[in-house]
Amino acid sequence: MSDLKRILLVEDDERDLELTLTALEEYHLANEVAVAYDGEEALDYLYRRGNFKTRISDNPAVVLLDLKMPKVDGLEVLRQMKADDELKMIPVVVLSSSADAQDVVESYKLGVNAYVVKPVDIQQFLEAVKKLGLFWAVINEPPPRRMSKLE
Amino acid sequence: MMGTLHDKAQEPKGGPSHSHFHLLQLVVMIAAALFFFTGVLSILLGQRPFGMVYAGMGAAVALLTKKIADRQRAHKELLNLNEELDQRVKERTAQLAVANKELEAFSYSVAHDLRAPLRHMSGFADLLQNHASAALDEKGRRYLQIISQSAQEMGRLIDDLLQFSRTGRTELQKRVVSLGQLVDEARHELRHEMQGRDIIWKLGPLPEVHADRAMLRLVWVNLISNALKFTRHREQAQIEIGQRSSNNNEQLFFIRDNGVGFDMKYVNKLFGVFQRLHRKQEFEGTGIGLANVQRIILRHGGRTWAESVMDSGATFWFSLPNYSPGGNKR
Repeated sequence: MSDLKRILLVEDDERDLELTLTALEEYHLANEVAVAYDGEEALDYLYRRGNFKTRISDNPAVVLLDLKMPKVDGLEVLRQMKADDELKMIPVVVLSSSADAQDVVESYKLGVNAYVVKPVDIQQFLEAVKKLGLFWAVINEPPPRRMSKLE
Repeated sequence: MMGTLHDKAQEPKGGPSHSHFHLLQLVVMIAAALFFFTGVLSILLGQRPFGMVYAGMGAAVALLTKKIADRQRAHKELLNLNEELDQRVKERTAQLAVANKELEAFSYSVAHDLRAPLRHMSGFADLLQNHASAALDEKGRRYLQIISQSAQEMGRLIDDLLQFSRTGRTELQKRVVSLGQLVDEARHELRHEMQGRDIIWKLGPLPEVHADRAMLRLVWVNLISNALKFTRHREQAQIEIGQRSSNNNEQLFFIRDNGVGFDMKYVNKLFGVFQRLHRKQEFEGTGIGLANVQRIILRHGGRTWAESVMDSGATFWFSLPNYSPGGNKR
């Protein structure tokens, strides 16, 4: 089981974070979740800088990305990821509070892989997170872990 | 503010062409006066017929010139007024655009920030239920359930309110749409609410209308969903959708059901926001559907109304202005 793929969860709201982690725990994916508390941290993690200089070198199998965050928001993270030759291969799932059409359109324009609205109903929320974790961290075949190996 | 508007409006019109006209008028007036006085003088000097012609001509020209000047002035005032109005419209439009933007930001913030705490309330109430269910008695569990249900309900209210606000602000994208097709789409969307039910549909022919497709679709979804909801306890529901001709400049549409109906005493409340004529325990819903219907129809220049006999059904009507392609419909 040590070969479980890692999830990068980008979430500024502690409570949402706890709920999401609880949901992932039920599928025993929780110890494979890296957490970034805002967009800046997410980018630090992805680019292995700042606090994350020494992080495991493999990229996460999926990034679960909140949109509305202080400092660097989710759309900016997405923009930077999809503009980067290596990072753009990591699937990104937006996990947002609102189904605001503008957010959805903008996310897809930037190349998001999926857009999920956090339901108010907790059962639905847990269900959604479980399915996401299961699909992206278990079922989906991510891009090869080290691009350099291929080249 | 009015003063500055006025100044701005006058400036371009007070230009050279106007003063030019003034000068011409002055010359004509002086000439007319000269004629007139020459005429009067001639009469006094005994040249009566000659003097009469001169004085008459002078007076006539003077009068005419004054009339022209009056009209000119009125015309200029009208132009000024028009320009002022134009300016004011532009200013108001700009103010409205700003207000609209603010509202947009407001509802965005409502959608994001108001829903998060709700999700936490229902979420943690639920987790607590899982976590401490054994330690809680029946009452305790019920309280927790009420907390999470209320949070969910508020979530729905927020969503509905946001949509209601959108139907008021979104610009209408009018084009020719087939009402019949919209009814089909709406019924398809609501197919889950029809599952396991015996429903007789009577669908009359419906015309093409000039309207915003998405909004009119919402009208039918709301109306049909209502009809389905309030016929729920009928063994066999009957829902009829059709058109009535009208001698006015409008087309009339209706949806009739054999459901529980409503008390005509409260018909005025029917289309109000968050108004309900049935207890929540009887029929669920936030009470915003018909408010949406009315708002959308009003924005299309139509009317909505309803009639009912308690316990034997209700009919909801709406009208749309006649559309003549190439006509002067706005």
